[in-house]
Amino acid sequence: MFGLEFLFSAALWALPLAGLPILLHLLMRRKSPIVPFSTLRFIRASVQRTAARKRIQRWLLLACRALLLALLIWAVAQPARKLATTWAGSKSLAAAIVVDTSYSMQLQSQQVTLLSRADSIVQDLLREPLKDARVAVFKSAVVANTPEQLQNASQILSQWTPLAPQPARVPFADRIASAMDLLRRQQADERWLIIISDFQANQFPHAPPEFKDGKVILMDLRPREPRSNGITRVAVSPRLPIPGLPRDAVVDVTGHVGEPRVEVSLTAPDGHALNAPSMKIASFDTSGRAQARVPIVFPAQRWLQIRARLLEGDDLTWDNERSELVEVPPRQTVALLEAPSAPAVRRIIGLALDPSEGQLGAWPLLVKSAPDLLPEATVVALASSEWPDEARTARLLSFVRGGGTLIWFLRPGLEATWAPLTPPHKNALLALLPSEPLQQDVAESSIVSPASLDDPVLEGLTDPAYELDKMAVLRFVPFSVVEPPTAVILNASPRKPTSHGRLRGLVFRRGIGTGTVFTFAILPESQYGNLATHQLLLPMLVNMALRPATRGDVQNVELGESLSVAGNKYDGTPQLQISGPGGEVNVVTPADSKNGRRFEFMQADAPGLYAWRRPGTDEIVAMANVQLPAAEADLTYRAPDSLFEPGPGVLIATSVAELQNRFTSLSEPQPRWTLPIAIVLFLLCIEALLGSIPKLRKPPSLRALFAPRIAADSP
Amino acid sequence: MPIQRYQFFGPTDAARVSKLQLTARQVVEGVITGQHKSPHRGFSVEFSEHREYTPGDELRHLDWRAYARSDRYYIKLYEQETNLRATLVLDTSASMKFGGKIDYARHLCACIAYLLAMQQDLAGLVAIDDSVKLELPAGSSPAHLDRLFRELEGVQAGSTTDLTTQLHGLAERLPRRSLVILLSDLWVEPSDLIKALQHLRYRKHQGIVLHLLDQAEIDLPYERQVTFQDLETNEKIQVDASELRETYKQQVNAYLSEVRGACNDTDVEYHTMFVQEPYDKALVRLLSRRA
Repeated sequence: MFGLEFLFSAALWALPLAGLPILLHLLMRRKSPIVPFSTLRFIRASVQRTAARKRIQRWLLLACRALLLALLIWAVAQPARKLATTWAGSKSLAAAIVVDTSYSMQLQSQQVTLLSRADSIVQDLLREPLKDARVAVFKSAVVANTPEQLQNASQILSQWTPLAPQPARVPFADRIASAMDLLRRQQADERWLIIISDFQANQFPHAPPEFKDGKVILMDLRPREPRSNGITRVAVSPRLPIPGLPRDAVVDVTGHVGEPRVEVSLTAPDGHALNAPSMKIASFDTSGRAQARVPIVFPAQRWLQIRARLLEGDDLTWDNERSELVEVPPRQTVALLEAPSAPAVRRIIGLALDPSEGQLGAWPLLVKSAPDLLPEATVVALASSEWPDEARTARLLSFVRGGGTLIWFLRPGLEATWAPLTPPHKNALLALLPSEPLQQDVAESSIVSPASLDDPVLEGLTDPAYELDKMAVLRFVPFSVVEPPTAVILNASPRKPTSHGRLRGLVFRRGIGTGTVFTFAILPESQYGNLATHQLLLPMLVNMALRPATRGDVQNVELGESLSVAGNKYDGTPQLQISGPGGEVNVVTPADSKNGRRFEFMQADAPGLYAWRRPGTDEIVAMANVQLPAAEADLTYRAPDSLFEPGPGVLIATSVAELQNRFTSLSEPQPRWTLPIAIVLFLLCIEALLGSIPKLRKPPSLRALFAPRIAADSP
Repeated sequence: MPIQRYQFFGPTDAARVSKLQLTARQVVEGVITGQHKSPHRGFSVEFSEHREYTPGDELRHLDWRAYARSDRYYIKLYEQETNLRATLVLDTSASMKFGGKIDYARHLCACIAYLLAMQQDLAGLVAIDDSVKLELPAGSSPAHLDRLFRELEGVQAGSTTDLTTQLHGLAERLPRRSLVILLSDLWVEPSDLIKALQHLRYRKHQGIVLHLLDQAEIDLPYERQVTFQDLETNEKIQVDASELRETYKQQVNAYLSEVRGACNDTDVEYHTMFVQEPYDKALVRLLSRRA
């Protein structure tokens, strides 16, 4: 009854005794004593008034007492329920094993990796309790490999290959949900959902759904005290690596073991060391995270790998080393155009673009003074004291449209000469300028602020160390409000707010074709402000001069992600070759899109460097650095009982033996006293209530209150 | 008067009752001069009024003082006092057997009759149920009293009741201005009882109702299942007495209030007497309250 068994079932023979109250009632009713009475007049009237209510009450009371007896007999029979079936039951069983094969399972615990333990557990389960069951095994994989059918356990065992770590692109919680769906579709007497995992927190961005269609068995492989530190990120700060300029290699470390030493080095793609390793000690905060910043100077080499390594060994080895592939921008030729005036300004600009004036071979910019555009120049710098004529303007526009970069300084006061220009001349200039200059002389002290902190030109330069707030401007060319594709990089606002004072653009960027125009509404001269001497000028000009288009040629991805290159520069390229870390070469055909051709390679199944080449050439056009998933190094775990509420349907064990013990104990019938006793108590309350109803006095009627009572005449 | 051994009257009763007095509260008509007010004028102690002298009047009743003041002859008239003619109406229906009410009533009848005889009043006895079973005219002689006591011993309860019809008959048969003392449990319809009492009052009779009850008839002190049998009709009904006790008590109390109201409306004295109280004490208490 209700899935219950009775430990003392002989007591159930006493169930007919439950009819005793009714029998007694009938017997007592027949043998009631006869009482001669003076008149039945009032008794008859009273019976008529209360008969229906009393009859219902009486039978309710009888039913209550009968039920009370029945429940007492039921309780004496000791009802019990088996919480689980036997360990190797004969019922038809469908099982789904969801095993975590993510890289965090590579952690060694007691000389054995968690993945090896998971492998043993799966095989043990398939051999013993699931030997007659139909089973599906869900493993971590780059792409979802949800089994659609269940197989016999013996068949799975015969084809079994040892578990190998796989990047988990789909959260473990979602794979559990898929397993639940598969189980729900199965026709079986019993369904087991077996989850084997270390329950790493990042695998459960959300709790799995509730599973009420069977048992949930959680094999908890969490290590008691994980002894591991790991590198989760290597980056360059600022992001643009410029040879000769100091940068920081930023290394994020996670873990809880001591203060690890971080070694950072620069290597070529072939592994050749390019500098002496630097070492830094990382100090963890309370959340187990640390960051080490190591100063680094890049040599003039296009492909570089920043390698970070933890010097102390631990139980999870693969995360002790990580790298970041960087592409150093190729050397750019800058044509510093000669202008009729301001030779001092030209010199300042030239020094800002190349402080060594050609002496430093690794410097990415080669500055050449020229009366006009140079064919090899990719960058043009121009300081104008007067508007360039129409011919030069047209040449500059053509240069930019072709992908060149124009860095244009304007002398304050030029706005006054705008009006006399011919309309064609104005139109030509307006094709390059941010907008039309205003006929308004701005000659007041202004302070400079960035329009956007995320602007790539200002990357790393908004740091307080660059003292942007100390850049002062006394006069500049005012422009009207700019609209896309023009954007403001730096703003100037009056130091003392006046009625007509407002925020105006000082440095602009305008994309034209595939090129860019950077416009300074000021000259780097002391009479217009302190731009010439401010430390921001040099890095800002270098950032502008280095071509951002080259940055897409390097990729740092994790295993499982696709590798791709794209852009107009591949137009006309029918295919590319990609070579992996093992030397294997694959040919990739493109897919055209509105952004140009796109080559995508999905089979990067090993960590290492991948190089893209045009067929028949050795020149590397792009590179990708494939690494193991960094998140797997963060060994933060969730308790299994926080994912599935513990109960009769949820078993948590750390080994197969423990699971078998749990099954053995749960397969013993557990007495269930609570329900019958609760009902007995409830019925006792009702019985008492029903029994006390006749004794309750009704409130007297008005007539009874005011009528003279017979007792007044009695002694 | 020598007290013989009667079933319902003994020396103790005589000793207790001899000190009591039962008076009529309204005028009654008797046959001899007594202690009760009469509707007729006579010559006794209580002055009533003056009347002019007419030849034939006794001169001893002339008011000489009035003659001296007015020079006219006046005769002084006094209220006539007479004895009481009382009829004890005993309900002998079967319901009076419950709780020994019939014996209690016979004791009361005997005591009241003796009391009346001792104060020179006349006492008669009528036993009724669905008909008149016994009718003993009023008298006060020892022989009458002896007969009354003997008749009481022969009276038995055992039939249905038709009390109100018999009261109507009595009202017509009894001499005017009698005192009618009704001893009954009054299990009749109050509306019929009112009509019977009004009839008695119409005939100038004074009424006293002694309502005899057993406390069990009020409280229904029975538990569990009980089969009640009507003493008059032998009808049976099985009930759980404890379940309907409250309702029953409400109904009985309402009925008693109705009966009491009926007596008050018809200017008939109403007294409840419970058989649990000894009859002599109950009688003493009753007469003390009336005195």
